[in-house]
Amino acid sequence: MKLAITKEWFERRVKLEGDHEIAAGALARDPAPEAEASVASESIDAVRLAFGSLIESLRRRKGLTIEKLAERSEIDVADIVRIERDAHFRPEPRAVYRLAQAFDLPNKALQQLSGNTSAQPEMQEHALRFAARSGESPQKLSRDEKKALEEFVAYLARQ
Amino acid sequence: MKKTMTLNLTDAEMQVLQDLCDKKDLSKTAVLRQALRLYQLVDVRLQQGGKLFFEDETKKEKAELMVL
Amino acid sequence: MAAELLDRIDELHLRAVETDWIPQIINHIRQLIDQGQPRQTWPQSWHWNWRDKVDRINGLLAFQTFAIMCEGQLQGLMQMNSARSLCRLPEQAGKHLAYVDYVETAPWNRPNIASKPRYRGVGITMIRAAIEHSRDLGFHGRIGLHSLPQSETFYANCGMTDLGIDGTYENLRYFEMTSSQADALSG
Repeated sequence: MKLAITKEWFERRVKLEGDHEIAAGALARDPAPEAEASVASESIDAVRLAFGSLIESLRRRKGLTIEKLAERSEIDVADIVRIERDAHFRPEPRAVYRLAQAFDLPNKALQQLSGNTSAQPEMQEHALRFAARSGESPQKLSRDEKKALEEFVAYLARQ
Repeated sequence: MKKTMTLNLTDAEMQVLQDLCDKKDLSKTAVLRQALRLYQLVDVRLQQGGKLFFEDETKKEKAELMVL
Repeated sequence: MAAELLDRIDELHLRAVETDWIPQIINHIRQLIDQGQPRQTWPQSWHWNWRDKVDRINGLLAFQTFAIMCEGQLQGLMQMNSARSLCRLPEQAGKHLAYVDYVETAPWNRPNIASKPRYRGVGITMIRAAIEHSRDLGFHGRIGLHSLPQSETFYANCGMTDLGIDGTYENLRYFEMTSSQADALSG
């Protein structure tokens, strides 16, 4: 196919584009905020929050990118992002099972943290303690954060 | 890179080709190239186990097309 | 800046999507979440399985892909389909068109993501390529596409006719270009 775009044509026509987005086709779609506004009534579950921090911390400790973890655990990249950061997102039990396998932790404990099964009081307590001690950015864990992670992982492993 | 070939068609085939050209606003070459693209697409789908149907909504009829 | 339009998406481009595009989009989404934006949903069609889609059309004559490179980086992608649908505009109804299955520019060129988009012109170049592809097929420059909501102004600016929201395709707005509109834009 010949495509003879002259500089003159381009400069004249690029104005049509301006600062507009140009994406077309469903394949180009980005995440969009959900239409229903039932969010405000939902409180964020601290246990689920701890689950997100745990997965992100474990992933970073292993030196895995989101894509790599997604590939290894056969979970959609978008789902990993939501598991880590979106406390409203409820992952499927199958995805949680795969994460348990990937990080060598008991599936039962992770299902509780993810909200798929209800967490025992003791589990809740440990999760809250971990969540309180883990910082905003798990890419650089402080010594205390590392310790919190290790203690929490050790607790989970005993379940 | 394009290659040229001679195509032998009967009068009837030539007539159909001409009618399609007029109806679809395509050149003879464009009709034949489009036919080839569609033939390949359908053939690949059928090989993958797909089926091709004609559906008539008013008569609620569905006929499988298997000539390809 | 000299850009290069390639008439095939190859392995190099797929890898660039995975290593350069997706991490930036992920970061953008994380920021949205961290800013306390309401719950996000990702439509199933979110393109993380891009590679599968390209593999599936490999070798099929009905599909044509394009990539734009500039300064060693992938700037835009497009996939066209010449066997998807026929024209809907009354004046050309039933005639063939080249349908734009998908077109997208790199995240750093997108005003929604980058505060200062790096390159402009991926959209207009791709539309021109789509028109030329349509001509090459013998379809006289007729093209059609479903625009994402944020891109509708651009396609209207290109002179395409807006046929309204299409309930059969994720409620996206359908635009079609006649051959005279194509002549006007490429002139």
